[in-house]
Amino acid sequence: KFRARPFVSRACVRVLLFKMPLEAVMVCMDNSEFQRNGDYSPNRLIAQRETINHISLSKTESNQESTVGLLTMGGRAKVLCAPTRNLGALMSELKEVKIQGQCDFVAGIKTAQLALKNRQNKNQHPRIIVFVGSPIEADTKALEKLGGQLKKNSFAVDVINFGKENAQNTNVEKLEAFINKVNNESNSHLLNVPPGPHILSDMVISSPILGNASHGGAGMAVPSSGGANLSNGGGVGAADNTEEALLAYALRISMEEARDAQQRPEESKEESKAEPMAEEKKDEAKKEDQKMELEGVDDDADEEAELARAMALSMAMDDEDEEAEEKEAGGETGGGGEVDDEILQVFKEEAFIEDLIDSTGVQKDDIDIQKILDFNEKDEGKKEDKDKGSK
Amino acid sequence: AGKPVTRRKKTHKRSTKMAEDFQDLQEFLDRKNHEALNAVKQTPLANVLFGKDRDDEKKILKSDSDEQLLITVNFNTVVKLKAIQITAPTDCGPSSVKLFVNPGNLDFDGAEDEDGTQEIELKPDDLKSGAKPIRLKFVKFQKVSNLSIFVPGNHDEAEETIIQSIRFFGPSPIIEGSKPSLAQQKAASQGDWLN
Repeated sequence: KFRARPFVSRACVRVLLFKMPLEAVMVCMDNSEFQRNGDYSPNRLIAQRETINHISLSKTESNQESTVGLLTMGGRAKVLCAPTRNLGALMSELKEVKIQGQCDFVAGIKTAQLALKNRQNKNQHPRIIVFVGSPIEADTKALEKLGGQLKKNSFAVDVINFGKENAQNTNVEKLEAFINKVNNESNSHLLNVPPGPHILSDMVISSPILGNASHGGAGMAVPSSGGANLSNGGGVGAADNTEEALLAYALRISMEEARDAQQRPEESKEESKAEPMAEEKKDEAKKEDQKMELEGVDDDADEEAELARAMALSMAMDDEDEEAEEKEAGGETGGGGEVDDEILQVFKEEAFIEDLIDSTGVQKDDIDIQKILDFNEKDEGKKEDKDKGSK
Repeated sequence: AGKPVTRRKKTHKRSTKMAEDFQDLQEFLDRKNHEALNAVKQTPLANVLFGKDRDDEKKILKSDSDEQLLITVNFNTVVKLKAIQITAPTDCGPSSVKLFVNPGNLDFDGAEDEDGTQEIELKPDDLKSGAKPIRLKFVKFQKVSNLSIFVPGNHDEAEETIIQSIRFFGPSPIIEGSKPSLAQQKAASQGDWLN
């Protein structure tokens, strides 16, 4: 009988077990006078506010231990909120931000560094996300020196350079030099947002800063080393779709692997390769029903017999391979047994086991894996016997 | 004539005690919780602390942006440190190290400015493999649960500092003669849940 079973392949288990690295993030907001400009509607300050909203949501959802903090760079660099998971506190501070003074980039970064240095959980990787919406006064040399210091202390930095004048002035080259110094194996990014009708938060969400491959996440973005944080562009609910998108991706990979897996043991079978197992079982059930119909009809009037024969003929012509497939499928103990074996085979692969165990932090030699597998097999054996008996 | 003087065989009590006192504390290092700031990612700290081929040429720790390193190790239990041994190439190996016992949040600025628990000059001879471990001021290393090692530079003023292995020595934190057997205590110090 048809039984739906979640088919989980090795690749998709790896994807599901993958977690975004835990981070302590410090967001540096530009609240200088330049933020009154309306080139991002309604003005730059509010555009930043929305983006920071998304960033904090995304970071806290991607890992349960990540924290986000906030500081403003206008006038004197001031820490408004130390790295926390309490988004309510963060948002309320964010709302109170007023425009004042001029930004000092270097002072802002150094303050962020200090705030992250004293984080409670040492395992969190420190990250600084800076919004640059005004021209940078410091020279390239000072920025490079700062970048080198950050890299030494293993800080990651993401810079968002936005604003009409900042697309053309020396900001771009200064920040490029800075990011080159800080970058350690692509953990740091520079995002230049040119002036235009687009929304600042959309541009940031679809950038590598929040884990998406550049040029938006058209279709399914492949999980990069930065994390499996898939999201649609825009909308507050963007981060909610992460897990669903991830699951859909995982299922798609497992379907493909299922098809590949079927090719190997089924060299004797003719055409079933292209069709996933669910479809196969449906057809099998359908065929069985029709068979029963045909048999019962022989006792009835000729008309009905003829009708049935016509149907049978048309079916035969349409899908010739289905018949062959159904004969062989009927001979098995049902697709269910196959799925169990597949799962067990996956678990028997040593490389996969090693990966699984490493991810849980347990020492390999201390577990008797064979014992666990044997125990599982005994269980499966019992279940299968029960099925055969009931059939 | 007097009685013949029988000489009692000298029991080697003192030397066995010294051996106990001077054990490689590698098994008490926390295998998951260690960090080396400014190290090249491909040459992790684990190369230098653990592994059978520790003294192998390829398993080294190399510094990244400049020649300084800040290494932090954690111990599973509170230990007393008597000596430390660093093996490194004599040209680009550390010229001195500053040790910090149980530091709070330490970064490169802090490591340079603050006085450590002890600062040690390393001569090229000390860096050769098999060299004598360097004695520490034992009094200051009585309750060590984590240790930071700051390397300010190397002998040749080279861009990269390379370390091959680091070893810690001290009395075994396991007390002989207390109720659970030695094997049980060792197992306990490696993590109860593994039993």
